[in-house]
Amino acid sequence: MQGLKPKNKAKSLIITALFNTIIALVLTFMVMEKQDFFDVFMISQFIGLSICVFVSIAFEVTEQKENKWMALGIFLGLFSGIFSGALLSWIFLAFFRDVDFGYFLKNIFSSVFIFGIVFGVPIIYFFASKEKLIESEKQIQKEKIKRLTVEKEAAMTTLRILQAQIEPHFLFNTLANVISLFEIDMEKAKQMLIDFNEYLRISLQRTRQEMITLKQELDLIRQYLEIFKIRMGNRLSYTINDRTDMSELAFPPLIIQPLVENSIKYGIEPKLEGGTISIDCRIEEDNLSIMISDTGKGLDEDANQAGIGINNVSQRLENIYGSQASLMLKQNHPTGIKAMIKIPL
Amino acid sequence: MKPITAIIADDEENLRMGISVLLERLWPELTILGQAQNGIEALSLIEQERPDIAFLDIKMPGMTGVEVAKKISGICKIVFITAYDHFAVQAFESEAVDYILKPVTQNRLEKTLIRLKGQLEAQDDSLNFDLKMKKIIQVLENKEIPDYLRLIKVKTGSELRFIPVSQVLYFKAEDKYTIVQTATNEFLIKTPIKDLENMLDPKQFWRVHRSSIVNIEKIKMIKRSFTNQMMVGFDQTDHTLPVSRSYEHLFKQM
Repeated sequence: MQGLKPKNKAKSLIITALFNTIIALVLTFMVMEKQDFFDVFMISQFIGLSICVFVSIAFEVTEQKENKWMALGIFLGLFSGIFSGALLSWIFLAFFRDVDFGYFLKNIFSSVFIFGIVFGVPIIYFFASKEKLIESEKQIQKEKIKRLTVEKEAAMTTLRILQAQIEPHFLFNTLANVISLFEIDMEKAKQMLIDFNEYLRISLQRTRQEMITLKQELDLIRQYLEIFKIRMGNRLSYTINDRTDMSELAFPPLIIQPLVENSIKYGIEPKLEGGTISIDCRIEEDNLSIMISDTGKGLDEDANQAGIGINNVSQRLENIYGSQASLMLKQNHPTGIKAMIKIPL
Repeated sequence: MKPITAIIADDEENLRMGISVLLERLWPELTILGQAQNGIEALSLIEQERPDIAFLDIKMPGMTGVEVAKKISGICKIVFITAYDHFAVQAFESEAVDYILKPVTQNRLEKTLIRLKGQLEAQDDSLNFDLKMKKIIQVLENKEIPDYLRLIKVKTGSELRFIPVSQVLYFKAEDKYTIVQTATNEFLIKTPIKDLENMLDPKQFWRVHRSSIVNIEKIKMIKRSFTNQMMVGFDQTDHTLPVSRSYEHLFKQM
């Protein structure tokens, strides 16, 4: 917390003095009609300003301290303010009005004291709200930083989408296959180049978009899996089922693909006999529900490597949909992993 | 003279076939004794056929090419096949082991074969080979050191689930168990807080109490209670956790 600046201190004193004047006017003309305005005015100023001074000192002294010390400081500040204000009032009254100390203590002090308590609290409140203001400025600063972070994140996402889709291993392995296929099976080589071309076309087209459609995403996944099918032969099979009837549904990229990639990389490729990937999209109540399951070797050994992509997907869902979307990962029976995504419609 | 023999091991059939076709063209006298589609097949094929040369893909299911090489040390010459991999290539270079980069092209293979033919005539130093493989395996394994825990394995009923750490709000010790708290669920695991602290990324997860670790990305606010206890509150929930006095300094100047 930051203490009040000198300029602010002067301002606080002026505001307190004005506040005191209003109280004096109210007291003189509406409450204690027999009193002289000047006396009430002076006493109001003594009490009010001393409370203001002492409480602001208390705030300064305790601002780095914990709450209980702050409360104690303010409490002490309030009472010191009242007592020194009362003392000043008595000196004033003794000097100008010949009031002796005994009379002051008996007849005036109690009302001065109550006056101090009743009007000291608003003064403290005034200070406290100043402190709060500083806090809320900090909050605004924080929000600004947050917004900038979000913008940076968006740029990074575009980059990541590109990197994920045209990941070097995928690229080199695919080209290695095409080159080999030229030697052994021209037809297959041609098919693979067509698939790869289609994959690149869809990929590049959409990196500039925050949202694509579910159909586009599934088309891309199909191309991706077709390429892997040529590479892995009968070790890989897949099914894609879209039961949503909403193929134009807006859908963020880089949600399904990283999970499919994980399934291949950590589930099916390392398994001797290979396996199957199934992608199933359906509408459930007000959610789009997507299940990506594989019959691979599960996540026991490579959980940390696979976890990078999974955490990214989870984070991405949260950034886009807040708490309304979810990603759940389960063991598939008898083997493999089942990822379930829920996205609000 | 006895003909020179070889085997090819790669999990992708197209690549196996491709190399085989190229070898036939570039080195017609070479006899290919067989092909293997995973590490285990490769090992038994080599032990059975005892070829002069084995072309081994690195990344194969069952057993990696390097693991196979280590097991058969001395039986035959090894040529590794690898997709672009900075670490592997560096290891091969520094240990002077033969390798071909994917995509395997006629040019690349030709160069390797010339060198290989020279080596076959010279005496093999199989004593060094074991050491070389050990070093390479070390490099490849180090590269894959699991850094931080990214998925928490939990059992709910008969089901096994994996919770991404980014979804976790905090971990809290409770009797013999540790509670894994997400925005919507609570799971129990047996790993003690003390061990978790070392497994989680310290940039994201802070120990704030003897019994708890919090995900700082999920912290909504930090406040003090009337008893002056520092508390952290979390996104999407009204859960709060106390911060020990000795950990309070973590949140100063935040």
